Order: sequence, then structure tokens, then C-alpha cells
Amino acid sequence: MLTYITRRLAFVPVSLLLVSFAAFVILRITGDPVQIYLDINSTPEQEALLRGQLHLDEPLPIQFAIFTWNVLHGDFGTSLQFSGPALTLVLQRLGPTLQLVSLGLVLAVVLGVLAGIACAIRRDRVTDFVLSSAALAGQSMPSFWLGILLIQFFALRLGWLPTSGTGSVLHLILPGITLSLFLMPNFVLLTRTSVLETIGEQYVVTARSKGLSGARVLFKHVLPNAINPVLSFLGLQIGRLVGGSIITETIFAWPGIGRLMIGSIFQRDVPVVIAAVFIISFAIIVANLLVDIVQSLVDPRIRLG
Amino acid sequence: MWNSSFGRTARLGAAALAVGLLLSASAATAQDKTLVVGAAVFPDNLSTSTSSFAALSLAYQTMDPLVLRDNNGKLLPGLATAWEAVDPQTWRFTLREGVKFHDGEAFDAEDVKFTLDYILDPDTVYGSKSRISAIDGVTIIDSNTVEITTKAPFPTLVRALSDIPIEPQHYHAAVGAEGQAAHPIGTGPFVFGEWTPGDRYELTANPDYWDGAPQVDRLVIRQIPEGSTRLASLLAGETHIIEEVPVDLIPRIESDDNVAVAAVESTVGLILTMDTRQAPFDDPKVRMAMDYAINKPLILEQMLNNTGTLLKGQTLTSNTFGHNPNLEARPYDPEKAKQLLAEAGYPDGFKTALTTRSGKYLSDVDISNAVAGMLSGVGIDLQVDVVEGGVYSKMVKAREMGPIHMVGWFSLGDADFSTVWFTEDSGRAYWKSDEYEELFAKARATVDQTEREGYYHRMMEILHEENPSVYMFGLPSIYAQSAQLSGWGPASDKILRLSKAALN
Repeated sequence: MLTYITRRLAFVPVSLLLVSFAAFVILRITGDPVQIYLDINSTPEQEALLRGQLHLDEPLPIQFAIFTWNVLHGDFGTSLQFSGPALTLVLQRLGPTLQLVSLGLVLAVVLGVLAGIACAIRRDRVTDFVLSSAALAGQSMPSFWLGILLIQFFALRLGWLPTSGTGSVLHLILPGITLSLFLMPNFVLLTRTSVLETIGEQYVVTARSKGLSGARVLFKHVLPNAINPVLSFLGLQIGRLVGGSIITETIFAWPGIGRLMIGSIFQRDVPVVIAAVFIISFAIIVANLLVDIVQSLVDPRIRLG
Repeated sequence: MWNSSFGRTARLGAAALAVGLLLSASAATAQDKTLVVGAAVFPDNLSTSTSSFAALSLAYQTMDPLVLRDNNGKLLPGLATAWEAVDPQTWRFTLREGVKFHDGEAFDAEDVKFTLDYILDPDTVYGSKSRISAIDGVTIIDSNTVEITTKAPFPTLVRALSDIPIEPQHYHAAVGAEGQAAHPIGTGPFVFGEWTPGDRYELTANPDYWDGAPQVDRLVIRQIPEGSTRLASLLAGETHIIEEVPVDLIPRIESDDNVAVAAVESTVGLILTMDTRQAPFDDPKVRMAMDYAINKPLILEQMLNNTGTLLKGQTLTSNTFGHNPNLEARPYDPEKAKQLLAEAGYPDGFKTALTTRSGKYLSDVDISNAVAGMLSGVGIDLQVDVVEGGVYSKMVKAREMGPIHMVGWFSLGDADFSTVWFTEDSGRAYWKSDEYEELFAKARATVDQTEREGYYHRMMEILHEENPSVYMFGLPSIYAQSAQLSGWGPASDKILRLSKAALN
């Protein structure tokens, strides 16, 4: 397994290089940071000064070479809009995003899987009908709309929770729920299907017929076999989670990495965007690796290597 | 049964939620009077060099300029108590005495000279630099008097200085520009507390402020980017002022007695500029037809909820020096538009396109679509192209904005700043008039205000007659405020002036 992990990690730099190259080229060819940054009254001399400072007067491949060389030395460059090193800025904003994303993911997976199981074992009964319909409705509901509804209800009508911002654990609840509801429906529906398939298997029928209790069969025989598709799916969802986080952070004024990245894209602040993309890509790669490892632990039939 | 253990999980969850709620209830009470503002846009740091209105709005909490502007753009004494033109190229400023920076050091002429010299240094990148680049030198006469000499007569110097926060020389020498941006020190009404990018700026009142201590103890400016969340925070009592109220939410505010809309005309004139270098807009009759074909009052009512004003057939808003009060907007007259099109050789209209951004100006895309609908009534088939800001900036640079583009020029109260965009040298003009160019150059080189005003009045006449743009609206700055708040008003330049704001 160690060889497997090492080999997977060896691909990380290649992925990161490709991702940053794509981001770099797209940002450079679609807008001019100097034009965006400077006041509309700026003089040609000022523009030339800034252009020189940012190496924007060089051809694109040379700009990328200079950039990559600096990144290899741990320097993503200085943010255009913020006057600090890009990586530091991104890391500052990482904490709030991690809080939000972990709460959203845990809620989505735990509640989603539980609801999925409930649907499966109460198949075609009221529970199944209600939860599956709710999941379908949730899947088709845009999360910005859902977020605004939650603010209207819990913060304005009931006054239980703050509308937005940071400051206490309570501030995390609404954005956390919004983000989890963005992911949860898929987990409900997938778990339901997967558990239903497993319940029909011969060995489950055997276990039931030899007199084991319902709960014991569920946790001992059904879940370990049904959970693997859910885990693979979880790996795929990490990327979507980042997208959901950008929307959630914007609605709830949450000072995370997603909003930083969006703002920097509009400003064509290449160092910050790429530093953020780096961190996010790295997180996605590591998360998927962890999912693989967990899968192999849960299901001995899967061998890594 | 299969689901025997779910009930217990649910009960545990409910208990956890209840504990959380109890914890929150105890944390919410505070004795201090804290004013909270919900801002739409935050600068990314507290450096003065960005010079955007969002950056200046934060900078002016801790720092002061030599010359202050009020909410309507009128100039008032700031760190300078008086100024006069000694000759057309020399201005003398008398500085306020007894003013101290937040760290206790005294403010004097050295700080003024340092700030201006620092900005004018060729190695400094500073947004407002071009506003004062005509300065030749700053001379200290004594500790409370400076003389600023300019390379040529420079009538907008005093107004330009209202955009320059004065920075402490001694502090800069110790910590540099980065140190000042990380922990700003100034002479302003509030003292820096804590800055969390993308989230909040916390400050405390400066009890020794030269214009009187603020009426509140603490000030928190929060960034809330989403308009409906911003409004929710005001309705929930979390904020007392919110910026940039979306037009469609105004009725919601008007229906609530605890909050009120506070709107004022900004100095941004929203116009539709036509590319007169090419057909069909090379023909003045076609440009005139465009003007008659658009029902501007109706758009103002429907899309801007009657906040903002109708431009009077010129690019300047009525609150700006140089505005020509004798001009009127052309009325909505589709028959006349059709007739003009026929005379110009387009009896069946033509196909054209309008370039706009989304969210740059209030209701920009909605206004564009309404214009397209109205133009179709006279046979002009207008396609609305919404482009992203970066792409827009590329089009600006290439000087290819398409046949028509929507743009808002701000004047900050003086015609010079927005009339420049119709001159060839600005790189943003799509029309050329020799007389206009000549008048612009004369106005820029004249210190006598009455004479200057005459030039601008004539320039507005030319803009009206030649109609290189359809002049639409003076855009409003729309805020909303809590009924608890007094001593504050909406600002035409979007800068928060909070030193007199009080909470009851």
C-alpha cells in the first residue's frame, strides 16, 4: 500500500503544474491586470512601471517560466491587490473554508447515508416516499436560493441565528447546513440504491433466515458492502464541494478561500488565483487518496497497488 | 426492526442544538455603543495606493486629507484650514494646528510634504497619482504652512487633494508603506483595531479627534457581498447602515418602519456611447434618432425605482461644477426617431450591438435590455452583449468597444474628471471635435472659476448638439439605514462619513 501511496503522490506535481498552466494562460489571455488595477486616469508611464514590475512585458511562455521558477522556490509572487505574498493570503483564508467544508461534508454524509438507509429499509413506504422526494427536491434547488430562504426563516423570522459573518459557532450553522444540503440529496439517493441492491443479495437473506437481528444484519452484512459506491462518490464530490463553498461563502459573507479566489479572478490577480488553485487541487488529490485507502480498509477485496 | 436506533440519534441532535442556542443567548449583550456598517465591496488591504472609493472609504476612517469633501461633494477645510492661489502656479495651504496622530505625534507640514513626495516618486504605484501629477514641488514655509507649485496652471488641485489621505512621516520612516497598510495610523476620527480581510474592519473612537470625538465607542465595517444578505443583516438589527441596496429590494425596506432608504445622486453619469468612427453612427441624425427612440423617464421609473436622476442632455450630473443648466434631455419621440432614420437613409432601421458589463453599474443589464426593447420599436435591432470585466478592459485597451457601449463616467464634483473622456488623448473617445478639444485644454489651464465654468457650459452644448452618446441617468448611491441611527447621510462619492453618526 505504501508503494501505491508514494506513486500517487508522485503524480501530484505534474497535476499541479498542468492545473496552474491552464489557470495562468486563461487569466492572462482574457484580461489585463494593469488595466483592471490602475485608476482609469492612469498615465502610460504608470502602466509601464507596473507592467515591468509584474513581468507583463515579456512573452507569455517566458512569464510562465519565471512564474514556475519562483513557485519552485516557494514563491507564488506578490498579490497585485493585496500587498502581501499570495500564499500567505490564501492560507489565512483557508481556516474558515475548512471549518465550513468539514461541517458541510460531515452533515451531508452522515445525514445523507442515514436517510438513504432509512429509505431503503422502508422501501415504498411513507418514510421512503418523503425522504426520496425531499432529496429530489433538494437536488433541483439552487443553493443560493436555499441559503437566502434559510436566512429569511431562521435569522429574520425566528431570530435564532445571525444572518451572516463570523464570530461564534452559531455563525457557522446556516452556511454549514446550506452547503450540506447542496451535497446531501446525492448521498441519500445513492445510499438508497446501493443498500437496496445489497439487501437483495443471497447472503443477506441467509443471515436473516438464520435468525440474526435486523440491526445486526444491517451493520455487519449490508453496510460494509453497500458503502463502497458511496465512498467513491464522496471522492468525486470534493471538487463540487469547493464550487458549493464559493456560493455559500458569498451568500453568508464567510471570509473563505472561495470568495478570495472569485475576487482574484475578476481582478486577474494571477498569483493569488494560482496559489488558491494549488491548495485546492492538493486538497482534492489528498482527499481522493484518503478515500481510496478507506475503501481498501472497508472492503478487503480492493487492493491498492 | 431495521430502524430501531434512529430515534435516539435524532434526540441527541436536538439536545446539541439546544445547548448551542443557550450559549449564544448569553454572548449578545454589550454596553458599548458599536456602530456596524454592512459594506458591499471591500478593498483587499488597507493600503492607500489603490485609491478606489472602497479603499478611500476605509482609509478616511483613520486618516484625513488636507481638504475634506462633504456628502454632496462640497469642499471643506480638513487638515488644511485655508488655501489660496498665490499665483496661477502656486497654492498656499495653512495647516490646522494642534492635530495629533493616533500615536500622539503632532501633525505638521513635514507630513504633508512627505505624503505628496512619496506619491509623486516615480517608483510608487498609486492609483490617484495622475490626479496630482501636475505638482512640481512642495515647499515647507513653516511648520503650519506649505506651498505647492504646479508645472502649469492646475485648477483641480484642491479637489484632487481631497482624495489624498495624509500619512505620518515618522511612522512611515519606521515601518514603511507595508507597515502603514498593515496597521494604519492617521489623524482620523477612528483608531485602527483589527482588520480581517474579506470579513470585517474593527475600529475604536478617537477621543481627541480635531472635529470632535465620534458619538459611538466602536465602529465595525463588515463586508457582506450579497445584496439580500446585506438587507437581512439590517432588518435583523446586526447592521445600522448598508451600502448598495439592490433596486428590487427597495419596496421591502419601505414597508418596514425600523429601517429607511437613504439615496443620493452620485456623480456618475451613465451614458451609451456610440462609435462615430463607423456607419451608421457616423451620421449625427442616426445618433439623434437613438436619443429620441429611448424612453428614459420610463426606464428610470421601472429599472431604478426613481432613485437617481435623468441627465439633462449632457454627460455631467447636476451636482457637478460645469453642469449646464440651460440644456434639457431630448424627449421620447419615436415618430421623430423614425423620421430621422429615414432621412439618414435607414428607413427600415439596422442591426447593431451594445456592450455592457453585469453588475458594474446599478441595473446595467436590465437597462440595456429595456433600451433594446425600445429601439426595436423604431426598427433598430439591438443585440446586448454582456461581457466580464477583464474582457471589457481588453476591449478598452484595443479601443474597440463595439458599435455602442454602456459606461458611467464619474466627476467627483468637477467637470474636468469626466469631460476628459471625450478627448482624443484619453484613449476612450469614439468621437472627435476640435472645438471641444480646444475648450477642454483651455479649461484645464485656467484657474479663474467663472471663466472655467463658461468653457464647460459650451462643451456641454457641443456634447448635446453632436450627441456622441445618449445621456441616460445620474446614478444614485442607495443606502439603507436603521431608524436608531442619526447624524449620518448617504454620500454622492460613496465614502462613509461617520464621525457625527449616533445610535439612539
